[in-house]
Amino acid sequence: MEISEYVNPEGLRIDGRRRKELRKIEIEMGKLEQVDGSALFVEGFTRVMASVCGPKEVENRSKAVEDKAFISVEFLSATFSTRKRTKMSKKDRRVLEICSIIRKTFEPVLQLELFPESEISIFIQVLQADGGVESACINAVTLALIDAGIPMIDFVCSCTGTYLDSFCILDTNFIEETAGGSILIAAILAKSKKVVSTQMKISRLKMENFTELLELVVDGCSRIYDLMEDATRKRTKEQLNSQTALIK
Amino acid sequence: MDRLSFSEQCFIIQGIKDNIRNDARTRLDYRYFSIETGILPQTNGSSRLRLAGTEIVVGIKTEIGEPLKESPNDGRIEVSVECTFSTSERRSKEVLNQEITAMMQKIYSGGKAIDLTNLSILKEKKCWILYIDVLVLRSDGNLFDGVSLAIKAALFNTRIPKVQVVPGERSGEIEIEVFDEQQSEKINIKNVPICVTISQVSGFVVIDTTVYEELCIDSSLVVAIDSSSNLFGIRKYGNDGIESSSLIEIINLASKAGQNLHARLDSLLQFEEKNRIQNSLDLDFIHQK
Repeated sequence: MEISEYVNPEGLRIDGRRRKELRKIEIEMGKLEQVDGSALFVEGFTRVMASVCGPKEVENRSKAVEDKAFISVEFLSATFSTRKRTKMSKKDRRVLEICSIIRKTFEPVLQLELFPESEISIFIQVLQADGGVESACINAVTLALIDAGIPMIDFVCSCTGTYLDSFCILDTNFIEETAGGSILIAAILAKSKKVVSTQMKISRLKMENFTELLELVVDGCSRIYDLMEDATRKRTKEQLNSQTALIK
Repeated sequence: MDRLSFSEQCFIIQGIKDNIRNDARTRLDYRYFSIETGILPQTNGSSRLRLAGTEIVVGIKTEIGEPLKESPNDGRIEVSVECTFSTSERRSKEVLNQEITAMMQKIYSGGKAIDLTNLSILKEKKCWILYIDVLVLRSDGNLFDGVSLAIKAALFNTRIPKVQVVPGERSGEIEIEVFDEQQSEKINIKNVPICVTISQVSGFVVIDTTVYEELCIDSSLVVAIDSSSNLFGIRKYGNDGIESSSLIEIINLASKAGQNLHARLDSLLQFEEKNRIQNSLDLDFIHQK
C-alpha cells in the first residue's frame, strides 16, 4: 500500500491521531506471581511484558562483580509479534543491541552498589510489535523493577518520535517508523529531566528540526511518566491494602 | 520453585491418596479453563488459554512456500513452543521446549489431524505453510494439555486467505492472486486431537496436575486423542515404569477425559464465535446510525 502523506492537511495522521498525540497506554503491574516483579506495558498495538528476578545469587559465577550487582538482560520477541513472521535467535544483532541498550540505560539508575556479588535479571517479552518497541521495553522494565522493589534513583521514561514530511511526529507506529524519516528514541529521568539514553536512526536532519524533535519527545516522556506514576501509586496502594487486611 | 522439601512432598502424596488435593479437587477433577480467540490482530488465528495459573498464547501465521519433496500434494505445518522465563529454570526450560515442540509437531503435521491436501495451492510448486507458534507465559502445570487445547482453539479461529493461480507474464511463470479477507476459509478442526496427561503418584492415577504435584509424580503418560476417540500419539515421561495391564486402563481413562475436554472446548469456542459475531453486528449498527 502506497501512502502519499503521513500527515494530511487537516493535521491528522494515518491512524487518526494528531501530531503530538500518544496512543492509548495501558499498564498492569505484578501480574506474574512466580517472579519478583513484572509489568505489562501496552501502547496502541505494541504490547511488551517485562519481568525482574533478583537481587539473587549469580547464575554464572564468572560474571559476578565484586562491588556491585550485575544486570543480565534477556529479550525475546514472539515470532508472531511482527507483520511478517520472524524468528530471532538469541544471538541476533537486533536482540543483542536492545539488550545492551537496556543494560546501559539502567546501570546508572539502579543503586547496584547495595547488592555486591549478586545478579538482577531482566526478562523482556514482546507480544506485539507495532512501532516504538524499544521505548515500550524501557518503560516496561522501569515498572517491573519498581514492582520488584529494587532501589532506583528515578523513573526512566522513554518515547519515540520521528521527523517525517517536514513534520515532527510523536509516538510512531510501525508504518511511520518504517517510512524512512529520522527516528529519535529518548529515555529521560522523570524528576531531573536528564536524558539517560538516546538513539537516532538518521536520514539527514537539520539542527533546528532536531531541537524541535527532541523537545517533542521529551514532552512525550514526561506525559508517559504521569501515567506510569499513577499506575505505580495504584499498585502500591493495592499492596498496602492487602497487607493491612492481613494484619486486621 | 523447582524443588520441594520431603515433608511437602509427603503432604501432597498423602492428599492424593486420600482423594483430596491441595486445591480441594479429587484425583480426576479438571481445573476450570477459559479461552479467548482472535486476540492478536497481526495473525491469521490466535487464542489465549487460562488454566488456573497457566497462561498460553498461540499465534498462527500462514505463508506461501514450497512443499516438501516427499509430499508434493500437501501443505506444511510447523509448530514451535517456547516457554518464557518465569516457567522454570533456564536449563530445564530448553528441554521442556524441545519435548513439547516434538510432541505437538508429531501430532499436527501427520496429515490426519488437519487435512494437508487442502493447504496445497499448486502441485509440487506452491503450498500454504501454517506456522503455529506457542508461547507459555505462566505455568501452573499440565503444559501438554494446555498447549494442545490452545492450539485447537487457535486453529478454530484461523482463516486461510483464498487464492487463485494465474499464469505470469512470461511463459512458465506463475502468479498468485490473493482475494480479500471476507473470502478466506476456515480449517476443519473436527479431527484435531488434544493431549490428556495422566500421571501416576504412588499407584494412584491423577489428571491435570499442578506444578507442585508434578514434582511428586512417578510417571506420566501423554495421550493425544481426537473427539471420536482415535489415538494420535502416546508418550511416557517420568522415571517409573507403567505396568502393561494398567496401560490400557489409563488410555481408556484418557479417552473418557478427552471426550469431556473436547466437548467443553467446543462449547466454549461456539460461545466465543457467537459473541464475536454479535460484537461485529453491534459495530455495523453503529455505522448505520
